[in-house]
Amino acid sequence: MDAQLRKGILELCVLAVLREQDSYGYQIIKDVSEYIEISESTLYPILRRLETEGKVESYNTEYNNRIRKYHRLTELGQSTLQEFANDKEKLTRLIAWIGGEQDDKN
Amino acid sequence: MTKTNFIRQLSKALKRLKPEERSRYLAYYEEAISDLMENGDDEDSACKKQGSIETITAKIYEDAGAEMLRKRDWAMIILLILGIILTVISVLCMFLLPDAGAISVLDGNGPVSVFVAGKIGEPMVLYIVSAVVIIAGLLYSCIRKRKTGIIISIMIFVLFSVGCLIHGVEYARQEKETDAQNTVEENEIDNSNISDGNFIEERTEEIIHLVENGDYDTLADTYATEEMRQYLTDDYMGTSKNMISDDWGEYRFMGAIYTQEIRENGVDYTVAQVTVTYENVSVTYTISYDSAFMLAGLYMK
Repeated sequence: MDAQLRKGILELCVLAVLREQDSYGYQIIKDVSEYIEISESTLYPILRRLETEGKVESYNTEYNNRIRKYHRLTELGQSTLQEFANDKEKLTRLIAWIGGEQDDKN
Repeated sequence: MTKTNFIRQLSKALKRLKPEERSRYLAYYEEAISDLMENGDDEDSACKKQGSIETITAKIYEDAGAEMLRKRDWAMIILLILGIILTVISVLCMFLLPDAGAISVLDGNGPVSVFVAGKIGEPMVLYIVSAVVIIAGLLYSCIRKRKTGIIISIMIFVLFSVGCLIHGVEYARQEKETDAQNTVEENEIDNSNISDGNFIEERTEEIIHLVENGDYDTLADTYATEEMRQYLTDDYMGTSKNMISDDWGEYRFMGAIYTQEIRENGVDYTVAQVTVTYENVSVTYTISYDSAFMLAGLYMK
């Protein structure tokens, strides 16, 4: 998949994972991997960016005598997902069209 | 590879990042590896799954915005460069100005020749400024936790200290030698077989008074050798005297005159040394006479 496209989609995937519940690096990778390939080194900049943009916030908890960093979806993050949902129909058509499928154009 | 090893290598590779950015990355990878290990991976494979340090690092720097990178610490760089330059100059001064009292020597043919007395003492100000700059650089690097800065500061500090130490020892040795020399001269006053001690003393006094009064013509015509005459001008002598001090002040008193006979290049010379105290300065004259007791060299310090 094209790198630019992938980057945008991965961001949304991470937000989607966090919609269910707060999560940490390893778990996020595990969950996202069910749909699209993602690695530790890819996840970090995504989380970082989402945090800077205020879509995600983080907090530390202690687990097994070490620190585990949890991430939580903010309201802004939620509305980002909502926007995407609103655009879903448009996007589905777009994907079909780009993919060369027939479109009746109403 | 162990986790500790992996983190250490990564930490080293991420030096260009700001410390807080770096520790975020390190915490992240530490957590990632720990999680993999707790979910069935052994330590080595958990590390391998992160990819090679080079790849990770390259990607991190690619993603890093300018705000994540360490800025060049110009204050530190300037302090260090200044420290290095000052140290080099100081050390050169210490070794190239061994007798910091006299600055030039002119040939008047006598054993003492004609020295132009100089006022360039030890450039203490330079040494003190250098020391201050070096220490400032060291402290600054320590506060900023810049390893490179600390190492460079310590290196120039050591160089400077060694220079001071060697120079100090050499200086003490020279002082001792001068003292020893003076003692010898004193002992030889009475053993003089060529010249009459009293005669030389009188002549020395006369010459000194002529120098004080600026009567160089009389000095040249009456007492000086051919070679010396060219130096006994208002211009030349005035400059030399001014280098000791612009204003010597009134004559106060004259110390004991030491004389010694020297044979140089097959010619016998008599050398007299005396310190005269003036209101503002005290001047040590070293005056040499040829076998006809004509002035062949004058040294003021």
